[in-house]
Amino acid sequence: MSFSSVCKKMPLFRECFEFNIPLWQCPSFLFLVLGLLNIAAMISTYFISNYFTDQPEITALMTILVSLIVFIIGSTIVRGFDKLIEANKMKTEFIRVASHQLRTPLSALRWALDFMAGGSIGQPTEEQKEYLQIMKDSDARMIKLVNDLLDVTKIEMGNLPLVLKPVNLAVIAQDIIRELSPMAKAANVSIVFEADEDLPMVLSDPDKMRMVFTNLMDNAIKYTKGKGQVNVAAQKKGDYIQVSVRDEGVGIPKNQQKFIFQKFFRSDNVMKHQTVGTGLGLFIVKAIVDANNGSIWFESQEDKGATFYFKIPIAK
Amino acid sequence: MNKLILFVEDEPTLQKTLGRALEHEGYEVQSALDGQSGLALIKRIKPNIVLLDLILPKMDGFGVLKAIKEDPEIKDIPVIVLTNLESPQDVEKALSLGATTYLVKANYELDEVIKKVKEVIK
Repeated sequence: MSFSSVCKKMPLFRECFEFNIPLWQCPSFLFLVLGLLNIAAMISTYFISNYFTDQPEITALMTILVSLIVFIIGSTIVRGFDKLIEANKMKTEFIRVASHQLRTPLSALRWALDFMAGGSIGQPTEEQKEYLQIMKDSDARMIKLVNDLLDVTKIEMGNLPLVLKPVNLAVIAQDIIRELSPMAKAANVSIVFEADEDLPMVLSDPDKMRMVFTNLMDNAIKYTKGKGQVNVAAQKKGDYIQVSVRDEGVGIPKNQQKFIFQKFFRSDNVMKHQTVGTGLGLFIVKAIVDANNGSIWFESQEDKGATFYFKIPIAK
Repeated sequence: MNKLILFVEDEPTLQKTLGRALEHEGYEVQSALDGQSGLALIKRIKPNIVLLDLILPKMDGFGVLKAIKEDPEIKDIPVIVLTNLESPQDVEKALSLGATTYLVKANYELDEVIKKVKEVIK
């Protein structure tokens, strides 16, 4: 039984493990270490001062002084870590509040609008339909934002839950293309898909992989100005399946390419063309691909378009 | 006779929207605002299907689900879990306790929820 597994069982440290805080950052553990350190400091100071002086008052004074200094420094550090834990707890609380208290009214709104638009309680006029659609779109945006923020919080806490299953990436890609085709059509963008025949399965979380494809293709469509084409391809490359999503859109300026996977980042040229978006999509995509032992990268030139690649290991 | 649906949900706005929509589809809908009265109602009216939220006052959805599956008289009534909890642990727990389907409210349109209900009730 390892040292940390013993610690995990002790009620004193359980809270830290619950919130995914390493032992060396856990305030109760640090407090224990501090106590031991203090005792050691007192004893050694006692012996050292005894060696240099034969006056017991000075020995006692030195011992108290050193242990006081150790205690003050130590407790300041522990208090700092305590604040860290508090922040972590707040994040967990945020997840709970956001997933329940925010999404419940948003769901009620969505369903009420669906019901009204469906015409069961009187056929809405064309103009009313238009307004209902505006409300539905806005509600959908809010739900998406809450979902994204929830994912970001989970990623930052290091517990993005993955349910791994054998997954065919080509099937998911085609699914998402079908889902996004009304949006692509409205934006005058055609989507071309190519895949190796009998593409091997990867071990991945299907729902999360859907998010990866949705985010990459959504960006590709959104940032294509006017008419254009988006190419999606999935191929076997060594022990990996490599997927690429290529667009002919606004591209990413060279000087901003290194920030592209940071959360809340949106490049200047994108802000000019499209104001809708949170800058969370690629951050989430990268976290999912990383969690699947894969990697993600891109090539882009401003005004020429961008190609995003990612690869996921083939299931053994 | 119309099929009977019991909707256990503590949020009145959701109860009203989904409840009414289901009534328009020709179902009879009864509702309960907490787990305890929901369970009592299931035993009394024996609905054709239960729509069950997980975060509920008095007794949570997991408790209700467990009690349904432990009672031989009502254990065959299908239960659709309709919640905004979405961690894999919650999904797994609900399914292992015997839920027929698990739906995250925020991710489903009204039509999709109704479609699921129709599929399960058939």
